[in-house]
Amino acid sequence: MKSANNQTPPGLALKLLSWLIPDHFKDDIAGDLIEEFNKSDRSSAANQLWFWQQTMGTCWRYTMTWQTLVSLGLAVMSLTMFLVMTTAVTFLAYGEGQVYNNDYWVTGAVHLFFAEPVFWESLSNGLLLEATLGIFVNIPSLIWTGISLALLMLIERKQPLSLTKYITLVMALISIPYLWGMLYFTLNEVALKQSGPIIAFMWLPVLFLIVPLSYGVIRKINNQKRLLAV
Amino acid sequence: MANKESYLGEFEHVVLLCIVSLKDNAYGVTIRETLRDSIDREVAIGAIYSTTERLENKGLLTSKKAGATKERGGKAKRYFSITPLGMSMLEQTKKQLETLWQQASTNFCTATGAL
Repeated sequence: MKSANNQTPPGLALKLLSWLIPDHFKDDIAGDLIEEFNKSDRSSAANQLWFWQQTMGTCWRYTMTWQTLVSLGLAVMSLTMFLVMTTAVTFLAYGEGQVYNNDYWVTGAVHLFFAEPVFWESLSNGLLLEATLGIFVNIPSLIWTGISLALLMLIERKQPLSLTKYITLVMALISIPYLWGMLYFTLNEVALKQSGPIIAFMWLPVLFLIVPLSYGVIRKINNQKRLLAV
Repeated sequence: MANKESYLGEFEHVVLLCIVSLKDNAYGVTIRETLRDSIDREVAIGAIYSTTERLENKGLLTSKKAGATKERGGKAKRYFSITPLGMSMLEQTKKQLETLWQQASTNFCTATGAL
């Protein structure tokens, strides 16, 4: 693609344009940039710099939309929650010490455990590396996860939900076991030794569902973005 | 309260005027050149395309592809043209700005005279 000024547009920049710009515009934008590049009387280095500036500015404009930022934020949040919950479940299986003397283990307010310095110490010490597959096996949690995923798939196959309704349903599916656990602890007197399986049912569905359901929300956001672009 | 669809943004206004002045030759490169040569405004090509896309969605512009040349790496140009709705929106914006300028002119002359 040599021009009258005997220069060639940077190939990598052209590749970036073809990867990152929406299909319906990428040829128009690349064509305009190539035309201006070829007509230019700038020096070779200045012309290359100009092409890169235009490419980066345009790619940024088309990729850094609110949908992309929300998707990125959601991905980071769900992976962080996955790590936090994995560490919490591992602590529940192997952890010991004075922290178990706290009331919240038998009153249902187990979220207070996440404010304990000992939890964050175990997170930074890599406690989750000691996790084995066995500690994540909890039949009620696996059944709840299966029901939740199947329900979402069925509903989406029948009549796709709006983004708001989808997010509401996802939040409900993740939080119902937790709320049920809190209610159970409130209505019953539970001994510390018996509280483990109930807390596992409160935490494990969050751990199992957070990544696939966040992925579902991200896909929904991106589908909406594609529909808006048509 | 007027919503975003019922008035032109400043850059939308400027881009529509460029397209009208370029008549049958309004595409990315010529719009950028007009902005640079007429009002000394350097803009990224992406800014022009995201604005024209918005204007097309509002029904103020149409576009068609034509004119693939060797100088463009064999890629077609996207020519823009204004719709009747776009024209009336431009006229309405012009009237609104003239009204505001008339109202401001007295104070504007006083303020600039005082400088």
